[in-house]
Amino acid sequence: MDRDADFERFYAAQWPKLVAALAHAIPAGDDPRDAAQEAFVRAYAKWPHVRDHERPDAWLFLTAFRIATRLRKRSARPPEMFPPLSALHVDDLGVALALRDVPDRQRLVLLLRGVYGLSTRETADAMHCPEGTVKSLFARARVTLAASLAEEDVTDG
Amino acid sequence: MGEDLKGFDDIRESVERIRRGLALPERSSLQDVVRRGRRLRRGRSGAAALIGITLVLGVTLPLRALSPLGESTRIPPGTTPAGTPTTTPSEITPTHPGWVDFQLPAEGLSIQTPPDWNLIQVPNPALYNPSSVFEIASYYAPAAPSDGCAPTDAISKLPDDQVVFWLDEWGSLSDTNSPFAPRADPFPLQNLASYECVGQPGYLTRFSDAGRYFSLFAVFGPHATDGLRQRVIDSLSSLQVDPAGAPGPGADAAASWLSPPTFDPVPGWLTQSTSADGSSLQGGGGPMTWASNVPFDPADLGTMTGGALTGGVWPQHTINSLPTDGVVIVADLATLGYTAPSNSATFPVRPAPLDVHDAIGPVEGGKQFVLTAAVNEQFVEIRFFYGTDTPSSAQLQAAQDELDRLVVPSLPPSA
Repeated sequence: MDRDADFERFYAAQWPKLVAALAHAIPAGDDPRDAAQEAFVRAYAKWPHVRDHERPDAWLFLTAFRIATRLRKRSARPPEMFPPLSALHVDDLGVALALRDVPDRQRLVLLLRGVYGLSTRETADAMHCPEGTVKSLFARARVTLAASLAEEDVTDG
Repeated sequence: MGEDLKGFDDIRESVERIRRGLALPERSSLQDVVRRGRRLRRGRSGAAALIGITLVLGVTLPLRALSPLGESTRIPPGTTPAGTPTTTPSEITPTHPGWVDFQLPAEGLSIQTPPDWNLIQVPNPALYNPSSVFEIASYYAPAAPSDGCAPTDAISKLPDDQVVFWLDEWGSLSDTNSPFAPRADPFPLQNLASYECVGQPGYLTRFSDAGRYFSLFAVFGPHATDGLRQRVIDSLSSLQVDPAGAPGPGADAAASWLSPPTFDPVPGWLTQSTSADGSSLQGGGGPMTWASNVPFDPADLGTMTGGALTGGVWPQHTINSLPTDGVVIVADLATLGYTAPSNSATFPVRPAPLDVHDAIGPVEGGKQFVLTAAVNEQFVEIRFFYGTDTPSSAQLQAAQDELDRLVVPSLPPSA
């Protein structure tokens, strides 16, 4: 099997989804493309492992999320908004604003479950924590998110 | 329930909308990925080939292996991770004659150890908060990075008379409810317990130093001697922390430990609370109290021994077998790391006493209802489990009576 061709297909298929998911997973102002690029570098280096992973897309997202967290700690350069505000649908802005109130781990659970479709057990495995923790984080995140969205609606309305 | 899924679906749809609007980056980006990925892969292979090489750096020290995988890096003492000497033996004032000094300038840390101990950087790269800093083993420990929260390979190969310990640093305290006492001298090994991520009994000491926050795990083999234990304490006591070495947790550092909410005791209701110091709270819950009008399942009591949460955050066994007229209430402080103002829509200020009818639900698969509120400037999440999606008026009244007895502690002055 051609490793590079195989990886290139993965890259083409996953890059937009990864960047889109990261755009909501990391704080506004951080450029999700930086973390996405680094995650793909690691995926390439470990490609046989990643390719055979049960959920390579979720592996990629988790890796990128962790990288983004580290980049945030270390980065000294001014943040660059991506996608630019002008490119976002108004509903996407609402979601971004609502997610701003959700703590990191809760946001991670929301994305893993909502966008990548992981079950509670799979999410717990991925995050190396008990299922109860995932349930708790998920429940809180949804309460926070629903309230924030409702607040946005009121503000808009 | 449909309303409850609203935010969830909005995220999914938004990600899909953004995804559709994104074009693939320039081909040079893919080429950059491949080029750097190849270099990273070669670096791993090359590092593995160096196993057994001995470096001489002032003192003769074995460099038994470099990391074969991932970001873990085994380094020789007195060097930077890149291998450039930053100290000489004459510059080091070891705690004990013959001990060596590990300098981690990028982390703003240094620590001294006996000469035959190994230090591996970032043994658990999967961790993001806390992040993994280093692991020290008194034996030849595998340098392969762990995907979990502990160096599982090193632990699995721990000889009966040896020790491995590792340091994690909290970039933010928003994910923890635990206290971080200023580091004591000599370094204390505390909280011996069986931690889920470790898999066997070990010590967990959380401490602050120079405005930074750390967790230190230590696992001893069953036949480790008192002398070895003392050497670990001496080594950890030599830890030097540079306040400028890494970002502190910021404003939320003030989120110190809070006492759990409680229910005034009355006959017919049983309660279990996390300990007030929170030193052994595990998992994702905040300071909390369970209340139940049926006996707690022994399996749940086992997860709240001595006020420590060692399993899930709810009394799940009790809830699963709850009779239709039973009521379980979980009151949980959800404040930590949450920085919304007190007029937050998520945790609205509600007049006392709280009203059970304000709870939303059923949520999360049914039979539970959630009430959130700001009380005494703290954010409280109260979860009612009824054993049915349609609680009777008697159940609601019983829950209301217990809710009337809820006591939410005021914020401590330090918070």
